[in-house]
Amino acid sequence: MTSATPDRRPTDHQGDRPAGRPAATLVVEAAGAALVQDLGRPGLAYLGVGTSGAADRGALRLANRLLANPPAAAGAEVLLGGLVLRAMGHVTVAVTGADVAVWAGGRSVPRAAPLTLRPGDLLELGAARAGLCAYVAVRGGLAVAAVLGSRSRDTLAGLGPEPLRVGDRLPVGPPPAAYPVLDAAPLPGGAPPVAPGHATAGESPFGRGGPEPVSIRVLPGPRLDRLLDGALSTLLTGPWQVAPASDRVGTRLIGPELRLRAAGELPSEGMVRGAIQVPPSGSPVILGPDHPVTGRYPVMAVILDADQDAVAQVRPGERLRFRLA
Amino acid sequence: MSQATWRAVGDTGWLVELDPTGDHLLDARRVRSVATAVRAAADPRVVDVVPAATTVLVTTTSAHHRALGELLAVIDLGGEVASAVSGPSAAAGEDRSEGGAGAALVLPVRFDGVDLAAAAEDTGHSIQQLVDRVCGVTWTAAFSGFAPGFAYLVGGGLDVPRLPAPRPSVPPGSLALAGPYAGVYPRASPGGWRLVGSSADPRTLFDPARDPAALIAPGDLVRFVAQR
Repeated sequence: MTSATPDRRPTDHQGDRPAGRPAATLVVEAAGAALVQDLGRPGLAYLGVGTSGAADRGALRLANRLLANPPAAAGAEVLLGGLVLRAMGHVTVAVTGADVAVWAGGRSVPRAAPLTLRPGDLLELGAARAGLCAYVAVRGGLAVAAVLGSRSRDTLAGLGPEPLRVGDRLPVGPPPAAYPVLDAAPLPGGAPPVAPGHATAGESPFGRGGPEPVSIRVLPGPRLDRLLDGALSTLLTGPWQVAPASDRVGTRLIGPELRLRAAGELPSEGMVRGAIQVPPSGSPVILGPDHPVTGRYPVMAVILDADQDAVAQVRPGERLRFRLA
Repeated sequence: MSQATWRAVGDTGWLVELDPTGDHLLDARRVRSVATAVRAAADPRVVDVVPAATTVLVTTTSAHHRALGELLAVIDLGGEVASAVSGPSAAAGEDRSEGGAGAALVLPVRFDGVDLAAAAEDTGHSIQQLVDRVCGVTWTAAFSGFAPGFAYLVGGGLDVPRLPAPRPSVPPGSLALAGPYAGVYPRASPGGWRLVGSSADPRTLFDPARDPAALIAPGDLVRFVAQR
């Protein structure tokens, strides 16, 4: 879904669905804070509609790849864990992203591996020990209704499927033609893959609020000249902590004040995910997947595309450090 | 004529910037002309094109970023800007009103906004004069942003100060003014614009299931009609 397309409305990447009953359903037994996400709806800025999509795109893609799904198949983005799903029918799932304990049919199972659920089996996610968002992908994808070509929930615009609630029945799409070929994938950070039957997830790549801040690469932004001299240096020195008020719209940072040259704002201009915006308060915000299409505050720096998934996994209270790409 | 410059926005975006002319309608036409030219030349590398007041943000994948930057140097952006000035139908692309002077969308409005008196005073009008001014012009949707279906309308010739701090929630359908722009909030959201009225139109401003999803799209002409 990341390759550019001239179509205004991205096509359905989960293939044709046969009329009538879906192959299987997942029933939500415990919702936690979970949203349906795919890779979003790019190309609709002219309507004021943002891309949205999974906060940790790499984790969703990996989970889909493990199941031989198209990369943009819709899954569940689970904030801090706690989701419980019951399989109605035979379902194959994979869990990636945040470090959560996983049980399938009552057995402790690894992340980043295809997991078979028999009819009636529960898939249970524990509380995240590290990281912020876990992803549950299902072979065939979650076949809920798409809005403007995507099944992603845009929390700012209120577009897409409603957040998951207890009792929701999530239809599963028909399985793709290809079969999963991996037993398990190596976890990010170089941890060894865990074979099925082994419970431990190994080394977590995520900080546990420990001494080392997450290092993120940035490029100087298009409106750096709207800040006083030394602003970039201040950004690179920090230190920065993720504020509790952070969400999918933006990651708010607590740290040194960044000062604008002039009080006036810019005329509205297009914004990108990963942009570091400085409002008049002086506290920077990293634009998240549900950021508004346009904005008026100067963008002093922009996070490299490849490092944005890591930002999405930093918890409130944890620390970030920026370095020039 | 004014040059277009461009700068990188991270490793996935390029921000094309035009010198403002001070004529918001003209600037909107120039911006749309550039947006159309870029999309035509750079597809399929373009992920999205985001026109705004005097800028066009073009996004791509990090793999295509550099190539797109090189392409911008080759497209005659300045020429696109110049041709937009000379031809009224030069701006096309995502606009519905490709033919130029299409019929204006007429929106009935109740002028009962909480900031109506303040906005009138700030612009040196009586309330009736402000209402007559808002209803007496044909507004043009310059670009969309902020929220789905929120179009920035120009043509009123006003300059209305924003609120010192945004309201946490603005009633859906509110007609609001800020700077040279008018806009109708499609749904409840935070908002810093001056609320002067509310839409009395039964159609919703944005319905993702409808085609077209947005009632007001860039390029559309809009007139407001006061309702008691």
